[in-house]
Amino acid sequence: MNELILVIVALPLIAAVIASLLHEKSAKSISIIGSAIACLVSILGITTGGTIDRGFHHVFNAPWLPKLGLMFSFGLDGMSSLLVLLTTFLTVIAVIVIPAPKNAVRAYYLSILVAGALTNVAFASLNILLFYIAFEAALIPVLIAIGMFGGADRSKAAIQFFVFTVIGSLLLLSAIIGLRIATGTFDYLTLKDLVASGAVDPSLLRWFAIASFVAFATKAAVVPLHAWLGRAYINTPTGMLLLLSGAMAKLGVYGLIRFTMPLGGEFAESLVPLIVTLGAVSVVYGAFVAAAQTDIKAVIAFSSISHMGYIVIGAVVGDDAARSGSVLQMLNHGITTGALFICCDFISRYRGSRQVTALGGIWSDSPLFSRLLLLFTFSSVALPLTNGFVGEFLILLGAFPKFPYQTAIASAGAIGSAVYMLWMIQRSIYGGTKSVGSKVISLGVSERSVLLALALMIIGIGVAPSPLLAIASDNGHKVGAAMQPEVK
Amino acid sequence: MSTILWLVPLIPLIGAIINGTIGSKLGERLSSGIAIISVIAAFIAAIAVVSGVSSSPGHFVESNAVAWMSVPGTPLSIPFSFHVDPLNGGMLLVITGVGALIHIYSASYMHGDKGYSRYFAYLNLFVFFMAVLVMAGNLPLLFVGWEGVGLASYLLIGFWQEKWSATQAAKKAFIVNRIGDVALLIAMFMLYREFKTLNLYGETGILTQLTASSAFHVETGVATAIALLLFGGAAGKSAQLPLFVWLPDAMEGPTPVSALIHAATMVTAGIYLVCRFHLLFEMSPLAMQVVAWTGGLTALVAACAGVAQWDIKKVLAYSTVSQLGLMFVACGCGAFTAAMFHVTTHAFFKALLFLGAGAVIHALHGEQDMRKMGGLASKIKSTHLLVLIGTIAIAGIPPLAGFWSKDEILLAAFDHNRPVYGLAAATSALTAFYMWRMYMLTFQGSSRVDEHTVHHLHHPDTRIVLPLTILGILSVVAGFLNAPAVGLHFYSDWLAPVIPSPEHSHNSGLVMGISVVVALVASAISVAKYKSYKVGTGDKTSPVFAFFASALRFDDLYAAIVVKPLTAAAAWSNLSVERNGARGLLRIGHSSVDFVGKSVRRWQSGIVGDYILSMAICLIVIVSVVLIAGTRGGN
Amino acid sequence: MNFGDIHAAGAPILMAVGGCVVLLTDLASKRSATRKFGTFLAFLFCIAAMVCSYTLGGQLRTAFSNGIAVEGLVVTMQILLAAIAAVTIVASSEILQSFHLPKGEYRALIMLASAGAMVLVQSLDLVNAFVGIEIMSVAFYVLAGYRRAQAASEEAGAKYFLMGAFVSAILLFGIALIYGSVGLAMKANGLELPQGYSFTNIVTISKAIHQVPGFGTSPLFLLGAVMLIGSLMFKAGVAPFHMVAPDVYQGAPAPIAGFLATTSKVAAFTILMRFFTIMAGADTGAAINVVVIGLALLSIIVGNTGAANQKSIKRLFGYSSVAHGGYIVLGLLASLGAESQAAAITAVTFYIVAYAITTIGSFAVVAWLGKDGEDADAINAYRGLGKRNLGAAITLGIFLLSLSGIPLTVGFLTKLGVFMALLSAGGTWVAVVALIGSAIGLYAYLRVISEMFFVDSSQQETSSTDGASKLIAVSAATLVIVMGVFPSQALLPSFEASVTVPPVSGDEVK
Repeated sequence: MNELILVIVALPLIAAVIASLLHEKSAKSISIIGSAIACLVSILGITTGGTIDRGFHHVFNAPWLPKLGLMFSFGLDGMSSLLVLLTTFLTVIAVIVIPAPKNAVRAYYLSILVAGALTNVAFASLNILLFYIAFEAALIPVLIAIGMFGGADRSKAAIQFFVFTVIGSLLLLSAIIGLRIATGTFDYLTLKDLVASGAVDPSLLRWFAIASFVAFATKAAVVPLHAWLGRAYINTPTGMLLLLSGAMAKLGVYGLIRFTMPLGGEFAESLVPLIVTLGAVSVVYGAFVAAAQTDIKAVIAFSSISHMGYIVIGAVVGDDAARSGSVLQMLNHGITTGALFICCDFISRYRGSRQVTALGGIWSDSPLFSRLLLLFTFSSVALPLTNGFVGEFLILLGAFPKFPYQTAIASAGAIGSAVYMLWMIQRSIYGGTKSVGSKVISLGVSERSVLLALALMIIGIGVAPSPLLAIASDNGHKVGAAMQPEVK
Repeated sequence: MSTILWLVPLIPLIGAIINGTIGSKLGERLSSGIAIISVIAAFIAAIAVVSGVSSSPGHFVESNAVAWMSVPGTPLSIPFSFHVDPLNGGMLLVITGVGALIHIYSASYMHGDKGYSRYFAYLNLFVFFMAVLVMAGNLPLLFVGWEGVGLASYLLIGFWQEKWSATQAAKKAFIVNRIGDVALLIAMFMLYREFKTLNLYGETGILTQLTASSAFHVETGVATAIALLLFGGAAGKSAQLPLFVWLPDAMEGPTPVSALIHAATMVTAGIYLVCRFHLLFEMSPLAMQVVAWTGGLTALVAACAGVAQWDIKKVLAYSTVSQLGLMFVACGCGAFTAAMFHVTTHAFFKALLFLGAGAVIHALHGEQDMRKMGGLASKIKSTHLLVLIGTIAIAGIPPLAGFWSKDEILLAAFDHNRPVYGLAAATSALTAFYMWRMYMLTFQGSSRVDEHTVHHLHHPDTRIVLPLTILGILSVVAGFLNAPAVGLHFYSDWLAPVIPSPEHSHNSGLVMGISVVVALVASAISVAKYKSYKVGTGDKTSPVFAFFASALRFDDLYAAIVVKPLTAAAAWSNLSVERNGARGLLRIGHSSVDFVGKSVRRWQSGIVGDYILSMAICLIVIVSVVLIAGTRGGN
Repeated sequence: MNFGDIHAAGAPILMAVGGCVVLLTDLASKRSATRKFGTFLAFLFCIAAMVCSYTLGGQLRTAFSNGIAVEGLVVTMQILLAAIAAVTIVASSEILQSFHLPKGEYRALIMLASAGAMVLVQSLDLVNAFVGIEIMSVAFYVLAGYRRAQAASEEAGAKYFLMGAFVSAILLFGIALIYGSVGLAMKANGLELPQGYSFTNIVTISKAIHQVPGFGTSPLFLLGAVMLIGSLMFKAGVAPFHMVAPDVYQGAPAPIAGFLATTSKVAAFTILMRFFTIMAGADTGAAINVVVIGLALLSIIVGNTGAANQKSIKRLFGYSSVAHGGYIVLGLLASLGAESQAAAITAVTFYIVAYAITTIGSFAVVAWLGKDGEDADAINAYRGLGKRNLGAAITLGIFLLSLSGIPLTVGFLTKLGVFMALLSAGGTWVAVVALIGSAIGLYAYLRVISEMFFVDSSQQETSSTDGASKLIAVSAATLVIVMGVFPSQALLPSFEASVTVPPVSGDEVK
């Protein structure tokens, strides 16, 4: 059972290799099979099993470069198992729903599958260096996808995105090396116990806290470290965007919960007010920028800044309910934003434009699509009984006692989301058809079933979130970070 | 009993799901049939529940709790659970009862619309959320209903999606409501911080803790803050100053929707919320003052606007806002019973008036401008009669329902808050005036309807007349549920377990006298003024009239001080910060690198002489550094 | 002078002899036949040299009256040098053909240069080091200007020669100063010369440093040391002595450029490492550290910024070599710290090996994509390469990612090693500056990648004929990935085993 994560990572890679060797026609189906099986396997990851070590199950250890302290050491807790599941799931639907560019089908699927696999390595790794390697290597397929299959502005967007995120992670690297020199290990659990027992030089921890925060905040696009997001998201091909916005951006928040807070010592705690404030600022700022867009893809892209703001607040505020809420909200954001980006893709494919000025009247000729889009919209607006509400409510409820003002500001962001999302809906699906060469949006069986599945998840999580919350609440914090390291 | 509690919201939900998924294939009869039956079933269930309440010793019934949001390892656990006591039991009856009538009415009114089944899906969905709102056993669940009705209202206002104005109004309604919702949300957070729970009832419930305030004490400042935030939420839902602007626009929706959502039920949710937390409000005199004054001013402003409308539905819309204002006046003066009683009676006669107006509009093929009506009394008799009853009722002329409920409010204001009483009295005068104005313009005087329409009037069928008749009867008799003057106080007794009955006031005679006189005089003036109205004559030209007609230009005000600045801010943050700022940052980095690189390459002149020279210079520099640093390191 | 001595110096001797043999056979035989045969012969000698130095094994031994020393490090480097020479000879046959350049001399020069480098690498006496450098450099000057017909190449040769002459003078002066200072110091303190060692012998110097109080900070010695270090830095192309490097790399044909870039770095850095290790732990004051840090950071900044927005890819590689020289110097800096020494030596050695492979590979790609011998130098010639020639694009892409230190390439592990050594030596802020530098470098390399993959172009298929370069490039790329993912399997054991024996420092000998 411990090799679970290896299977989850390996299957898509194998599929990718096979697909890139075989003929283009078979590439898609093979990619689907590989990623789908991986997705099913990762459901097992949620169930606790295999070797259990300090709150992590399915713990797996194998040497890679022992001299460097680099090990293949994996382990899952509730949080990481959910995020792995999310990643594999998004990979599947990305492969199913979004058609590959004509000229380079295999390269496209290769990039998506590799990106997904590396992201999973990062989520499941219990060795900081391994995490870092996956964290940074996962950028390469994204770089390629943006640069080769991206929008009009692709080459600029690709370079900008890559340089920006790498600068952040280089800082992280220096901090990780610092930890290694101070403690002689890259092993996460050992490090956490050492830090918890106060054995590590605080000045070093301060550096780690700062550097890792910068790296992870950049990844999560916390204002003002979000500068890469706009151009990157708008120019990323939708298939990869599902992973980038749905899974990889979560690596930032995951890093804050998993590394920055437990390993940052007191200094990390003292950073919390700043981080929460930045989160609240992101919520409001993202809403403002989103409200000023005319390209529906851009609207959703910038709305991500807003939503990630909530998630970041919940991640650091140090309240169990809030943290569980933010873990759940990572899932929700992946589902909802993914669904919205998919709808965007449909609209721009069939209507030939993403500009609201050219859209309208979609409801009259494709009611099912419009109803689903409406549902996704209200999930993004965090209407009760959709998934969005549960996450944001728990985050804000947990954050309020400690940071009433920031929380109040963040709550006001709910107004903003209503403004830009409903504006988008009004301009795009209501009214009458404007653009001339627009085709009726007709959903194929697979597309329809994927969208319906997403809709069901949105309602399901909104009505009965407790099982997921039970898993999400196991986010490694209670274990180990308990101020005295427990004996092995 | 608990299972029946579940039935009340769930049956309409099932109806909504059926109509929402396969409704378009069912055909009009079947889909409307399903919708109507589901609501009637809910009504019957509600009756059963309410009878259960009256029979139960604790005067409440509670459902079993089904898990919703709960985080292991934390005290937080929020279930789906319903609680019905006299306060919301009464509302439940109104919601399902009036709801059922309006469903029946709609079956005929919406005949032939291509969104027929979608309409009934939305309507059932609304009943579901409204039931959840009032029955909710904890605040998050209440919030579910709270935003849910907002959703339903959004969908129904924007029901005719091709109409830009309709979708615009729908969006406006949802967003303005969202502002109130955020206030409510924050109030919820504060309550959780203070009471460590979000349950309303039960031994640890917030309301219970408030009742046993000896056991638990909230200092006034906090109580005020929470109360005001709650009232903020209420002001959004119930269209009070400064958030009332969405309700008049909401008339873009089909008329039965206006009757159900924007007159009878949803808009009264705010009053329900305040009455629910009356203990908290009573802790804070300031909050009570704010509520009373907001209500009074809203009532007056809306009444003024109502005087100057030509669109028959707009008249009723502003009248609704104004009546809601009176209800808040009651709350602010501590007369929560009166407020709830007016909620009930108002539900009857305002629904009656809206449906009547709808019938008129229907008859005239969608004409809403009263200047193109007149003299319809003889042509659509049944409708005329019923609207007349409604008018008398709302004008506050005894012995109809409106008189009794409004009198209670005025009395309370007279006793506790004279200035606000002044506002309320003025409001009721204006109310009588513009209601009679509406009646006269529509049914009396010479007909201004164009020939063609006159000869092809839609004559209402039974599905329209029946609900009107029932509502008419209710508007006549409902007042006697609570007429202390004639020694009837069923309603206050019924509410007693939740809200203590008001002490008898010795001013009742005086106040009653005043209001009767005021109502009659105002009605008389209005009738006289509009007896023989001709287009073009009268007041529409005067600036005051225009100012009133635009509801004191609140929309323009907000456009100027809220919408415009925020839009500018958005544009600014997109252009200056996002595009130029963030990308400028990158450009700076790029160009600085470029600059250094250029100078490096300029250094690289390609001439050996330069190379050797610069190399020599560098060596000299290094050597001197070494000699300095070296000797320093030495000792 | 016994067999052991011959064996110890076997590799350079074999290379030198091989050079002469190749030259003679070339003169003897008719042109047409020799092309393949000469290459084969040269190749054979290189292999022989590798084998010879491999048989020396890891243990320390000195020869020629302690003039040279051999241990694992030297073995590794000599094998590497021989390999570089072999590869270059194979790769160059194309340009020699297309420009009708004399082949015999060429191969001979390559092998002689390599021989010189090997001498330098294993010399324990600074005089030997000087001899080695001169042998190497003279051959370099000729090679740099080997394509006489082309002005750029000729200019490069001339520049290189002039600069080289200047630097040799400085080097010689530095050695003289050291000689003098050591002699004086030992006389003054009544230490007598260790048996069989000259005053210019590193062991002697080390003894002086470690045993004569205050010697490490005596101006005379420091002056000499700085001049020595400076001139070796010139050979390694470290700023501010880098200026000739970009010109030469751009001017010379790609294979030669690759040869020059790698051989000189390998040789110079190895001898520097040896020189630094004797100063490790000694009190040389802040002087050396200050200078070394200065040089390192300067060349990191100069190299990376100079590479940014470059139009010629060979120039870009030139600047990148400057930058990487900087990182290696950081490693050397760490080797000055007694406790971080072992880690530093491992890191630097690994870095040098990896850098050599990457550079040879990148220049091979430039040659591969060239048309009839002319290198594909202009970066905009790479526009849309991903569409035209995916294989070449991916190969070059791998090298670029490795140069910018992205994980799963060897470039990441080398940087990681250097930074670990550096930080454990406590150079935090230095490391941060270096990180910023590599971010800038990343930008420079990404531009090329973006040109290749992200920008469409109208250019049509370039028919690449150079099979040898293609082979070299692809295999180098494979190595870069394999070493990046499984260095322990690919390379680490060989040189880890070797550098576990640290280079001589006075106390071990005797």
